[in-house]
Amino acid sequence: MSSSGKQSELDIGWLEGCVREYKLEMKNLVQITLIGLAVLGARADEVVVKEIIPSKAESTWLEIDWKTDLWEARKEAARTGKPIYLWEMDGHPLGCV
Amino acid sequence: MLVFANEEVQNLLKEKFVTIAADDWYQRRRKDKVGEYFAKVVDQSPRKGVHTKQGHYIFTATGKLLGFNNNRGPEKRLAMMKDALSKWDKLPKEERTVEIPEHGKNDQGFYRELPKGGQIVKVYTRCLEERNGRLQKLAENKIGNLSAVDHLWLQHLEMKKLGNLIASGGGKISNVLSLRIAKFHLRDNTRGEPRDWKKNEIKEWSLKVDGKGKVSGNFLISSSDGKMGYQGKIEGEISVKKGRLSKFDFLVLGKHWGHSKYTRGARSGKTPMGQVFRLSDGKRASDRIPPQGIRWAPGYWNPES
Repeated sequence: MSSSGKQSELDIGWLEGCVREYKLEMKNLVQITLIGLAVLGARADEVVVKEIIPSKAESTWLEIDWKTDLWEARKEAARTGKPIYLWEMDGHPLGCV
Repeated sequence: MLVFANEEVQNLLKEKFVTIAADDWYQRRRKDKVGEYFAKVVDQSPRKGVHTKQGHYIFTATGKLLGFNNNRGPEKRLAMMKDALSKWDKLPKEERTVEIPEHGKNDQGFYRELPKGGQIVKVYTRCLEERNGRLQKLAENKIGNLSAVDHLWLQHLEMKKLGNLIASGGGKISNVLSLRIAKFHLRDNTRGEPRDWKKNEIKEWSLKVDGKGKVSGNFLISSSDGKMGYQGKIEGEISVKKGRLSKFDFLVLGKHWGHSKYTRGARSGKTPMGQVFRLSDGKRASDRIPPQGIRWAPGYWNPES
C-alpha cells in the first residue's frame, strides 16, 4: 500500500490478506467436509448395525418367558401347577435367533 | 425358532407351561440334583442311552415325562403339546402341585455363572452381503441369514483397568481382554457352534482405546491351512464410570471364510460378516446365558494360557 492509501503494483500486502482469508476459508471447508464425512460414516454405521441386530419380527419368540435354570423352572411349575416345557440343544438355544 | 414364532405355539407356551431353554452340553453332564432330575426325565424318552439329549420335552415337577419331540415343524410340535396337556389334565392333583426342596451345590464342572461384579456384553453376529451399494443381511431364504447371539463376560477388575486406561489418555487394550474377544467372540456362529480360535491363528491384531473412549482396531485370524479365517476392523466406544461399564459399543466389519465341524454350509470365498457388541443390563434370563467359549472356564478367563 502506498502512502496515499492506493494499491501499487509493488505493494502485495493486500494480496497476503486475500491469501490469509482464502486459507481460512479452505480450512473451514476442509473441517466442514470432514465433519460431514464423519456424520455420513456414523449414519452408515447405524444402518449396518440395524442390519446385524435381530429385528423385532425376528425376536418374537423371545417374548416367551424362557427360563435358563431347570431347578427354578421345576419350583415354579410346582408352585403354579403347570407342566414344564424344556427346549434342550447342544449350544444354548437362546443363542440363536 | 420358526416354530416359536407360530402364534398358537406362543400362546400355549405362555399360558399353559413353564418354559425353559438349556444347553445340553452342560445339562447332560451335571452330577448334582439338577442332573439327576434331568436324567430321570430323559430316561423315559427316546433319548435314553443316546449320547445327545437334544429335543423338546414336556414333564411334571415330579419328573414324569408327558411328551417328547425333535421335529422342526409347528404341526407336530403343537400335536405333542396338546397331547401332553391332555395327559397333564388326567394326573391326580398331588402329582401336579408338589413341594420342591433346594437342590444343594451345583456341579461346578458343568455350571457357569457371571462372577460377582462382572458385566455382560451381548455379541450379535450376522452374515452380510452387498446389495444396492450397501451391506445388508442375507435374503430370507439363504442359509445363515439369521443373527446369532453370544455373550462376552468381563470381570470387575478388567473394567476398572479399562477405566484407568481411558483416564490416563488411552493405549492398547490388555492382552487378556483382547485375546478373549479374538479367540471366543470374533467367530461365525450363524449356522452352529464354531470352534475357538487358537492363539497362533491370530496373525495380526491391534485394539486400542483413546482418552475419550474411542476404540479402533484391525485383525487377521486364519487357520494354519488358511481354509478358515476372518479379517476386518473394529470401531467403537467404551465408557467406564466408577469402575462399571456404562457403554461398550463395538462394530466389527470384515470378511469371513470357511467353516468348522459344526458350522458347515458357509458361503464360498471371503464374504462379509458383521458383529455388534452392546452392553447388557443382564435383567432377562436370556441375557445371562454363559458365553459359548466358557465351557473350559480357565481358558476363557486367561486366554493367554
